[in-house]
Formats: sequence, C-alpha cells, structure tokens
Amino acid sequence: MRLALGLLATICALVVLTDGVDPGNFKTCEQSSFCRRSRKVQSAGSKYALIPGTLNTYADSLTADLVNKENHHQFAFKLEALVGSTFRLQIDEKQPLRPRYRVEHALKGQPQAGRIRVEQETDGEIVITSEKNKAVIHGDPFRIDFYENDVLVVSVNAKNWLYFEHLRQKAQEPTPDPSENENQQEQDAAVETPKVADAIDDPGAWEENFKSHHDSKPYGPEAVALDFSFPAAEILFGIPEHADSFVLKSTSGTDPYRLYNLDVFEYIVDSKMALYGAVPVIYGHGQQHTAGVYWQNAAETWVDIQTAETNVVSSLVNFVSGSRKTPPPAAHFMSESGIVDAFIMLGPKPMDTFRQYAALTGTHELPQLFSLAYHQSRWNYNDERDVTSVSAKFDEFNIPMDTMWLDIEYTDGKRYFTWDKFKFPNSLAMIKNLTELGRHLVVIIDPHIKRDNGYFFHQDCTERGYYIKTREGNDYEGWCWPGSASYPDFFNPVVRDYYASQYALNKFQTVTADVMLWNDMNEPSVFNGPEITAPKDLVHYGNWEHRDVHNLYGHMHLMGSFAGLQQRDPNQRPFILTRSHFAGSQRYAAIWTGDNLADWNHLQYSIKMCLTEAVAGFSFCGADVGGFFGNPDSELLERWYQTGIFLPFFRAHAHIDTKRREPWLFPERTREIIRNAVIKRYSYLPLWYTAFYELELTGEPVIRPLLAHYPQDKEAFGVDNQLLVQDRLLVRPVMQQGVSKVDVYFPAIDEKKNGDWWYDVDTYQRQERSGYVSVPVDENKIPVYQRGGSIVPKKERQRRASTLMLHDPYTLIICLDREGKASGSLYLDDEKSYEYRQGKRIHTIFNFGNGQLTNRFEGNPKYKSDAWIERIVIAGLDKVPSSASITVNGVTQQLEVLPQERSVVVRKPGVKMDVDFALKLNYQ
Amino acid sequence: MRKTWVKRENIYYKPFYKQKSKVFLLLIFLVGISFIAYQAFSLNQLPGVPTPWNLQQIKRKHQQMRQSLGSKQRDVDDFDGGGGGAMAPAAPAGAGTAAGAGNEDPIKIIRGTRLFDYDAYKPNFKGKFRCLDGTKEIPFDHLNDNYCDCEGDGSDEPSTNACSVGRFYCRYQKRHITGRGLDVYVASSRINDHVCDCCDGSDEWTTAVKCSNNCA
Repeated sequence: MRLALGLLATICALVVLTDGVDPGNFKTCEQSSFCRRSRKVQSAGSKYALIPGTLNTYADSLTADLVNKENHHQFAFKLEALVGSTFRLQIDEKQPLRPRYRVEHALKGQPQAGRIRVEQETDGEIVITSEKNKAVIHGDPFRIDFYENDVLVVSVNAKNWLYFEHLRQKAQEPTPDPSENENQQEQDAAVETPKVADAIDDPGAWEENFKSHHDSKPYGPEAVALDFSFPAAEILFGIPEHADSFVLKSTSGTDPYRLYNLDVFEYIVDSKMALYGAVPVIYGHGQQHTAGVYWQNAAETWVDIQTAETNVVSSLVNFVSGSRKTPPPAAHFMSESGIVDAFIMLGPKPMDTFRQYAALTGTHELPQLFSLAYHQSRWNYNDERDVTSVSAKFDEFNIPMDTMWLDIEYTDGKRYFTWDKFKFPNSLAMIKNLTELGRHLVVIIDPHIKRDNGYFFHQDCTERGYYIKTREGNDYEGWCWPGSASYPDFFNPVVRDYYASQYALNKFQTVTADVMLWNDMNEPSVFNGPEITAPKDLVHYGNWEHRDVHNLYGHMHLMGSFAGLQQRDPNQRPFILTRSHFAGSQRYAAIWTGDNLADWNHLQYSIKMCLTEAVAGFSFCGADVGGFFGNPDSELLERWYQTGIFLPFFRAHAHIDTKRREPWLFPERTREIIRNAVIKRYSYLPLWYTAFYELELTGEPVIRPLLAHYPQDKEAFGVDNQLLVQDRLLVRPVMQQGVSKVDVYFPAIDEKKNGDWWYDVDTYQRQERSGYVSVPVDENKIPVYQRGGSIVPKKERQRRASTLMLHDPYTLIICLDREGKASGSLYLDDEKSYEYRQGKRIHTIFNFGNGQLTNRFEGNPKYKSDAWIERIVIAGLDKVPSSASITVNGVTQQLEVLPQERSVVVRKPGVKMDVDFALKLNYQ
Repeated sequence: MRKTWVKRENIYYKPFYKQKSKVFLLLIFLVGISFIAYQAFSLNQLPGVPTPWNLQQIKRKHQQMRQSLGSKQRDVDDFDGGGGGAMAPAAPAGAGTAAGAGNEDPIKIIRGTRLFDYDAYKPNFKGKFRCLDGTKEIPFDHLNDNYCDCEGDGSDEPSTNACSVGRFYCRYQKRHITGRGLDVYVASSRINDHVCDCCDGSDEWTTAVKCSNNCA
C-alpha cells in the first residue's frame, strides 16, 4: 500500500514536472503586497466622497474634488465626455508628493472631446448628458452610474472598492542602534503626523522580497484600484493576455487575473496567470447591452472578476434564499501605481463597443498581403543553404509559402544588427534568392543588448547613456540570450530615434527593404530578474520607475522599430511581430500567443486567446502552428494547420530542440492535408485582405466571437471554439484527437431560435436551423460555413507565394439568405505600398437580389488592376438559371451558367475590377 | 614455366553438342531472330509506312516541327491573358484547327503542350475538345481561354494558369531523337508569375520579365 502511494506520488510529481511552467516562479496576489492591500478593501469597502462646492463644469467635462473620508486625503476628479458614447474618468491626487505616472503613447491621439450638458445638480447628485448617454454622479458615497438610452450599463465604484494610496513620506526608521528597542519605534509612530491612521502596516509597503529578489520601494505604497459593475451584462470578457476561456471566470476563491508582461516558459492553459501582453480592456455583455471599460494603467495590474457563475454553491444559495437575483458582473482593477484613468465605452452593441475602443487606441493598419499568407519559421534555420533549400522544397511539393523566418541564431553571438559570418556569409544573395520568388524574409531583433565592448550598439548605448538605469544610476545588467545584457530605455525619444536609425539600409547593410521584423523578448525578458523580467525599481527616462511603466516597455520598443522600418522605406508598409504588447501596440505590430506547447489543449486555446485579443484591438493574432515546444504527431500537426489557416496570423514555428517538421518530413498523406489547408488559406486571402482594410477603416475586428453578431443568443456567449471571420465565415476547426464528428453551433438571431442560413464552403450544403449540429469530419475536413446573405471574394488560382497572385482573377462566392439576397465587399490595391492612402485603391460593394448582381464603389476606383472576375458561384437559388447576361457600359453579353450539385457557376464574367457591371440570371 | 593443367581421371566433361536442351534453346532463339528480320523486311513492302530506321524522314519531320514551333507560336502571343478588359471571350489561342495532318502543312503546337499530345489538341469528330483524362468534353473555343474547364487534369488550359493541377511543358525539351527522355515541365501555377521557371523562360510569356536561356 505504502509502495503504491509512493509510486502514485512519484507519478504525480512527474506529471507536474512535465506540465510546463512552475507557477511558483511567479507571484500570487498574496505575494504581491499591493494586490493584497487593494483586495482587502473588498471586505470592508472604502469611504470616498465628493467635496460639495468644488464642482466645475466645462463644455466637455466636469471636475470636482474627492476626499477619502478616513484619512481626509484629497483627490482631483475629472469626468470627460468623448465623441462616440465614451466617457473618460480620471482621479489623481490633488497635491501629490511627486507626480504620478500617466500612460503615454497608448492612445491613438488626443481623443475627440464631446459635449456635456448638466441636467441636474442637487446636493450629492449631478446628472450630465452627452449624446444619448447619461452619467449620474453620486457624491457620498462616491459613485458614477452610466446610462445608455436610460439603461444603466456601467456603474463605477458601486461596491465602494475605490482604493487610492496617496504618496507619503516614509516613517522615520528607528536608529540602527541595537540598544534602542521597540519603544523608540512606538514613540516614533506616536509622534507622527495625524496620517498615522492610514500608515500602511503591510510589511511589503516599503520593500518587498520575492524569492531571492529584493524590491526597494523608495516611494512606498502607491496602488490604485477601482471597481466597475455592469448591471446590464451577463458575462465579462477581455483583459488579454491569458491562456483562458473567452468568457472571464469568477475569481472568488482564486487569484485575480493578472496583467503583467512576463516571459512565461511553457505556459499552462486554463490559467489566470499573466502572460506576455497586457491589454486592460474589459467588456460586459448582455443580450441587449454591451459596454466596456479601458483601464489605462501600465503598472502591474490584477483584475478581480465577480460573475454570477452558476456553480453548485450559488445555485444552492439561490434555492435557499428563494431569489434568483444575482449581483451584476463586476471587475475590480488593482494597479500598483499610476492614476485612475478609465474610459467607459457605452456600446450599446458589441460591435459598437469594439469600434469605440478602436477609436481610442487605434487598429493595425492594412498590412502587406504577404504577411497574411503562410510564414515558415523555426528556431533556427541554420544557414543560407538551409533557408534556400527549405524554400526550394516548398516549390518542389508545390506548397505555397511566403515568408521565411530567422530566429536568434542568425546573429553574430546574439548581437542584433549583425550576421553570423560563417553560417550566413552572403545574406544579401540569400535574400535575393527568396525575393526573386516573391518571398520575404523576417529576422528577429530583440531588445536585450549584449554587453560586449566590441559591439557598436553597446558602445553607443553605454557612451550616450541609453540604457535603463538602476536606482544607483548605473546601467542595469541582466542576463538573456547573449549572456550579460542591458536594455535600451525606449521611453527616451532620443533612444527611439537612435534605434530607428539603425534600421536604415546604409547602417544595417546586410538586409534589404524586403526584410521585415520580429521583436521578441520585449516584456522585457531577463533570465535572472524577478519573475524573469526587469526589477521594478529600475529607473527610466523622466525618472519614472520601471514599476510605473513595465507593461509599456514592449510598446515603446515597437514604436522605435516601427519608426525604423518606416524611415527605411517610407512607401512600404512595415511588418513587425511582437510578443509583448499593451493597449495600442496593435498600431505597430502583429502578435502571436507566444511559446505554446505541441498538445491538443494549446491548439484549442489558440482560438480562445486570439478571440480575446481580437476584441481588445489585436486582430492580427495567431499561434505557433504545431506548437513551439514538443513534437506534434501527424494528426495534431494536420489539425493545427487546419486551425491556423483561419487565424489572421499564420506561422509555423518550433523550438530548437524539436524535430524538424516541415510538411514533407511527414508521410505523403499528412503532406497533402497540410498542402490542401495552406492552399485554402491562400484562396481566402482576398477576404482576409478586405477584412484588414475594413478593420483600419472602421475598427471592426477581423475575427470575432459569435456574440459580436448574435448578441441575443445566450448560448453563443460562451462558444469559444468557433470564430467568425468578419460576419461572413463561421469556422469551427477540429481540435480534438481522433474524432469523426464535431458539434458546430449555429447561432440564433432572435428569441425564437431563428438562425441565419449557413452554407458549407466545400459542398454548399445548407444548415437552416440554429443550435448544435453534429457534422461528420474526415481528415481533410475543416467545418467552415459561409453565412447566407454574404458574398466572399476568393482567388482560386494557386501560386507559390501570395505576392505573385496580384494579377490573378477573382472568384465571388454568393450564398443567398432566405430572401434570396446577399451582399459583400472586396478591397484591392497594390498590396505593398502606402499609395492606397492617396486613393489608389478599389473598394467594391457587391449586392445580389432578384437574380441580379451589381457592384458599387466606395470612393473612386483609382487603382489600376489587371485582375478580373473569372467565376461567380451562387448557392441557394431555387431553380437553375439557363444562362446569365452581363452588362457593362451598355454592352450586354451572354454568359454560360454551369450547374453544380448545390450551386451554379457563372462562367467567366471577365469584367475588370474597376468597372461597373450588372449581371442578371436568365430563366427560360 | 609450370604446367597448370591438371588432368583428373575421375571427372568427365560432357561436350556442348551433346547437351540436347541447350542446343534446342539456341535453335529457337535463332529461328526467332530470323523471323523478326523477315517481318521487318516485309514491312518495307507495305505502301506508305516508313521504315522505323529511316532516319532521314524522321529528321525531316522534326525539322518541320521545330521550325513551326519557332514561327507559328508567335501567332499565339496575341492571346490577352484572360477575359479581362475585352469582354469577348478570348480567341481560342491554340487554334490548332488550321494544322492539317498532311506533311505539307507546318505543325503548330499549342504553347505548353508536348508533341506527344499533339493530336489530342485537335477538335474531335464532334468539333469538341476532350480533356486528356477523358472525363469531359468541352466546346473547342473553351480551350486555352483562361478558364479552367477540365478540373481533373487541367488539360484544357495548357498555356495559362487557370487550372490548379495542370502542367506547362516548356518549349525546350531535352530528349533523344527517338522521343525517349523525360518531359520538361513546370506546374501551371508557375505560368506568368514573374518568375522564370523553364530554363528557356517559356513559362513567362505575358509578363515583362526578361528570362535568360539557361538550357544548354
């Protein structure tokens, strides 16, 4: 028996060991003193109130003073109305001992101010309106209720969890004389100012230890925390990046969700642990109303989630108490420093809220087409011959591929901006070999700089003082890939300029303007730092502590990189992939979900994570296909490719210790499945490209959760193994091992469970009812459905790289709705330059109805394209037309109609893309 | 010098002419040879059949073909690369109809096909084109009109990239005069993609790419 137990324990230990990251390397809320303190407020509440008579109103905002009734510390409160149903709420100390950090560079620009009207101002209650929204400010206890069309959607500080640690002087240390004892200390305390009441007695208030790391906290406690309730919502989602479900889970009894950019090795799924990125935006969604809150704070942040989860306990409580009423979902944001700076976005529909957030922080600009195609990466492609031969193998097996990636080993000893002269003696020739085939190269450039006196970058940074400093004023030295390394302080605009100038082709001569960029390890990752990142008491430009700005470090790095690529070639759109990100980083870079694992769980979470990222602004998201760590078997790899093609960023990548896994190293069957998947991705590139243009135009995410378009369907709220590509495709990849059928959920548009029609994109078989449908799948099948009522542009001709498809003709897939109508858009331009901003673009809206297809242009179609429409597929017609006629400029021509099993094909309309036409189906 | 031949009393070597089966097989072999030779000579007497080793004649035919490849294929170059712009369906590019079977007409081979399939790219008795895999028959003017009709093998679009499975046979074919040798071809997705894939660059025939000839 004892033996068996011992064996069991050993096995458990082994399982734990192989289960990825050790959570013990990262702090829990209990180990983080500010989180501990802020969370404590949840039990007792706090007492803040507006000071009567301090109210000032302006055209777009109002200000007032706020007081903590327990310690009488005063705060400045400002509520501002912004255009687009958004309010901005700021609370800072009225007279702080030193300025508190306000986040810069996250917003796209100065938000456009709205106008407010003070409707009512009685003692203790102020009512203001802006557009069709209303804010009611309660003075004591302090609370703000936000109404959208007279429905309460967001309530700030409804739980009285506002917690604002004002800056203070450290109490005098007792003299280090050992003869003096605690008496002295007590006297000191007694002599202290009346603020003794709020002297924070937490042992971590003025210094903190974690593992072997010491955090000297020279400025003491400075946390801010505030709660937001969403009375009209049923679920909460957002606050990436976590490897968790799309719908946020209640944190009662567990740690809060943590937002702190960390390099987590082999992260675990279904976890609230912090990962590489932090986007503090949260949404509350109910059937009628959606609202969001963007908590703009770059310090370490923990978020407690309170939702009415129907677990056993709560249902039991409900049963006993006889009430079905549950408190509305709420989020409690707790940040280590900074100020309260919250944007309240009032929706009312999910897509409205996403647009409002995009209006604040921006979107990814239209990327070059190649970056939406297939990327082939590995740590590492060893040398020039390796790169060239992998590229040639893709041609040999006729698998399209656009971009080869080089990980850190291409450099000369991890000195970025240099090449290993033995493995890559002639990088320009290698790059030319790729670009001649229409392909691109992406190289990695990380922020850590090798401390080597012979390295020009290190010399410059040392001489000019560009590195992040320690408290003592020395250059901070950490340990990363190159060994001993320092980190440039990208918060300094001079450093960013210097960094950007390094990308100029006369400086970085071993690349061409077609070589794009991968910024990794920019959390920053410091192997020997606390929690594998930089210590919080480092000092940045402007004398800000690293504590204040940590989550922004990667963002600032990206700003330098982006400027560098733009200056290098002002007319080419840069492509950057980043790991660390903050709100607003989407303006500069695509992201991926970091160092995942080759197992089925991580495959499933790739969709959940990217959906959350997409609603938080990062549509350009993907996961390492095949999994970074570990070796996928053929089935997992096949399914991963099939899933990866429906995420915006599609890259295969692998760890240096894994087996090579290019598709031809697997049996022919696997190779063909992968090839079919990649070809499918390429055929949908016009849709992806259009979606990204429309993202830049409107801020609407490229991939969306079901609730974005089916907000009323309660059952769809939690569906996070499916995604929508715009509102046109519904994708439910196979993400389990060895299944022969999967359950696809078709969402309902109304209470009566009516749904859209959905057409299988392979067979045009139609699903007419909502709810779960079990769909048989074979190894080649990816359950993807096109919505009835939509038109999807495709390019069905195969090329070896997407850049070579520029002049190829388009196919339009028209799937009809119940009324026999459909519409959809297509965007095209030169796929590379910024000329589209000067109008050289074609944005077409296609409409089908009454047996006729017409097009209409948004703006003048100024781009000259050689492309044309080769085929129009129509599914959902009642009867088969005998022919079609197309009219262009008054000239009508007959076209053949080829009937297929469940669709008809109009053969070769042959119109150019910038021509108005009308295509009519004829029945005889 | 030492004598190497050793006589062994106890071994008896049977002479060849006494091994009946071997002689019999040899006889059959000789009769066979002479029969084939007889047949071959008698072929010569049939009217209109060229002797298989009449090299002069074969060479002449090849000469003609090569010339026609050089001259006639230029006619095909006016093919507009798709229905774009011009609304009318592109003229059937490889109007192979003109090419009669007779020796006096120069042979016109459609760009991207191989000599082996020469006859298949003529209208059949119904005036249609039959896909090379035999699955489908399409109107002859759908041949090479930049729209894929033979989805199975892409054989109706030998000169364009309309089909995803097709092949483009490069103009340069390295083969023995008797026709032996491997076909030189590229996937149809490589046609006019701004990359020179055939060693003679014949796959880039509408693009402005200047391909050098690396065939030799």
